[in-house]
Amino acid sequence: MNYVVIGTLAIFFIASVFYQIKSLQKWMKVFNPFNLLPNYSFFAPKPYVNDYRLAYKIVSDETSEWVEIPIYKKFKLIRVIWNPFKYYNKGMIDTTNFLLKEFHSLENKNFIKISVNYLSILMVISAYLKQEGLSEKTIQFAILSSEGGETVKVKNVVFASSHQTLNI
Amino acid sequence: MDINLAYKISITILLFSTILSSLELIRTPKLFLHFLYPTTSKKNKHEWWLLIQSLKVVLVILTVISFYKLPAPFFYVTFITLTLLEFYSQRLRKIGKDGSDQLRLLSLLGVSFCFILDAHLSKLVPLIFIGMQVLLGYTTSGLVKVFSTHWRKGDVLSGILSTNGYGFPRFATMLKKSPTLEKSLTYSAMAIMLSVPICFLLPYPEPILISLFLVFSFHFGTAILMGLNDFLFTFPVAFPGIIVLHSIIFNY
Repeated sequence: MNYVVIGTLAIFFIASVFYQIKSLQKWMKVFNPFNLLPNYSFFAPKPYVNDYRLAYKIVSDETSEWVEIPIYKKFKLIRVIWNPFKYYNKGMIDTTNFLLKEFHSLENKNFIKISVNYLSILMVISAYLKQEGLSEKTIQFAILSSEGGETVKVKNVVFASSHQTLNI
Repeated sequence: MDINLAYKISITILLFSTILSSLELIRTPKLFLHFLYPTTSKKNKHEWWLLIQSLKVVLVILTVISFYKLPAPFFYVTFITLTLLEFYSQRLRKIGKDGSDQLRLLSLLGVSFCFILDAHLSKLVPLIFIGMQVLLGYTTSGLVKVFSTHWRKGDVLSGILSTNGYGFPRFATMLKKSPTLEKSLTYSAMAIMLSVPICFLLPYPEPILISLFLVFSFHFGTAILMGLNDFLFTFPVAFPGIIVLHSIIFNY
């Protein structure tokens, strides 16, 4: 039994070494159904230097302007030991990246509306509107890429939805 | 380093890391984080998510009690249950995961898997396994940065730290004003990561201990500046294993 366990862990370690080579990752995904093989390249080769920002506009109201959903928190030292926000931030990055990947690979772009990532963002907007005391709305949303934290500069619109009715 | 002590330290850090992340994940839905469980099926709703995370918290407490106060079989049962729950929780959470989530799960699985080994090996093997994973982690992370044109330019830190997501914008503004400081901090981040595998090859205990202290300081810095506190409380799980493995290889 000892040999089986040690052998399995040794094979897993060797596989982990090969998995660090980017060109092999796609090929090795077949052997990684549970995503256990780690990717240790953290913030490299190209680090995140932009934030994604989520904005919506109420289409049914002609006077409505684009409103940003406040995602980001101000810096607090407590985040050394307590920072649930990091999961939210990474979730936003992953959702946006997956959404863009799906959108670019779709021939009929309308099908993006049934994407889990698209629906997730709608749920975020819906929860926010509910909190703000707003009822049923037809909205349009956009994901923006921005630079800077103190002085925010919008770089570009990475995704813009078509009109979408929400039952809040 | 005594293997029993190393094992005790590793397990304690691992359990702390697990309870902290579970408590933080209980809190995240308050931030509209509906996309942590991005399906509309019944089992993935908010209450289910809270139940899973709360169960993990309870299991960590039971595992601590069984690890320190009860006979080994109680520890095995609670630890394996905790591992399965963490595995399920991470399968449920399709997105928003990072490197420390990966390492935590690998560590839990590695320790659980080794329960079937002989008493001595059931402590030594997981320590070595986790230690080698983190050695690979620092090597990869350091090398990828060294070979990256972005990192070699020496000006990535102000870019990363200027974001609201992973940054400390005021500090980024200060760095932008001092390119020499930024360059030296960028290069020292790469050097610290690579110092761990390099010092691991030296046949003396002091260099590897110093490099582990430096990398711990680095994690402390990223916890403050980037909010990556989970790395600070997860990667040290491997430090006792690295020291044990080093002492075995160089026979001291």
